[in-house]
Amino acid sequence: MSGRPRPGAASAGEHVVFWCWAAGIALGLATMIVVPLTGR
Amino acid sequence: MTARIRDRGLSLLFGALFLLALAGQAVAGYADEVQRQSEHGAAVPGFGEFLLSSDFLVDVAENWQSEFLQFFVFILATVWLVQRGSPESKKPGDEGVGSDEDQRVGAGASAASAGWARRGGIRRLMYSNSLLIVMGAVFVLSWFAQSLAGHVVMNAENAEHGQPPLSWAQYITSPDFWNRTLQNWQSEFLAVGTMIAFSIFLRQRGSSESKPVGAPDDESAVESE
Repeated sequence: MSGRPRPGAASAGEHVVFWCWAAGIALGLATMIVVPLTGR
Repeated sequence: MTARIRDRGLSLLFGALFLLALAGQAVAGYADEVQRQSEHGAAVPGFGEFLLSSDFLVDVAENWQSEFLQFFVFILATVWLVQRGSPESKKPGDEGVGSDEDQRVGAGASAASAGWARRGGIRRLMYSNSLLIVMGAVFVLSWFAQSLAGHVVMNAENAEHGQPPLSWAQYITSPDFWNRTLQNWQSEFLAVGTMIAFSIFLRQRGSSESKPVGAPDDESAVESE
């Protein structure tokens, strides 16, 4: 991932949007799986 | 409004709506839990304790799984099935995964195509199905989470009533698990089917979910572009 960005590539902002959603969903899934496994 | 915010308006709106609705669910769910525990003369959990309890998380998980199932099925079905006149559908005759040229992969890729679209093998296969794979994975994991949290809640209720605990395998074949699951699935499939059927004849001027107002009823979104 070096050199000039390819034409049509998403900006850094679009990557931030993608990873914010992915992180939120991963956090939610992890919470919903781990908490019941602890018996709470 | 700066261009930075304007260009991301949809994700910002839905992210904010999600957080507000989840907060509202937490507050209302806690009030309900306090009321139920008080009626039984049981100890009332703190708010933080409630948020990290299976009582709250099973309700979150059962809705998550059905939403991601909805999109998983919709994405998969729209590859192979069409609905004449619906902007949600490709036009009749375009069923299937499309040619490399249409999909701009392999020899059909352009300089603007992502690296994994230009390459062959497993990487192109993964990238070509990445939306379906991720939505399907979130569905399976949240449905699994629902089963774990529902199992804890069911056994807590069984203990209160002097009933023996169920194993996880017994729980996932229980009426409680399938009632929680199917009550969500039915509404998702109804909403998607309604959107497909109604968007043939109804319009919303300016929405990407609708055909142009003056487009003929038998024209799909792809044709009207």
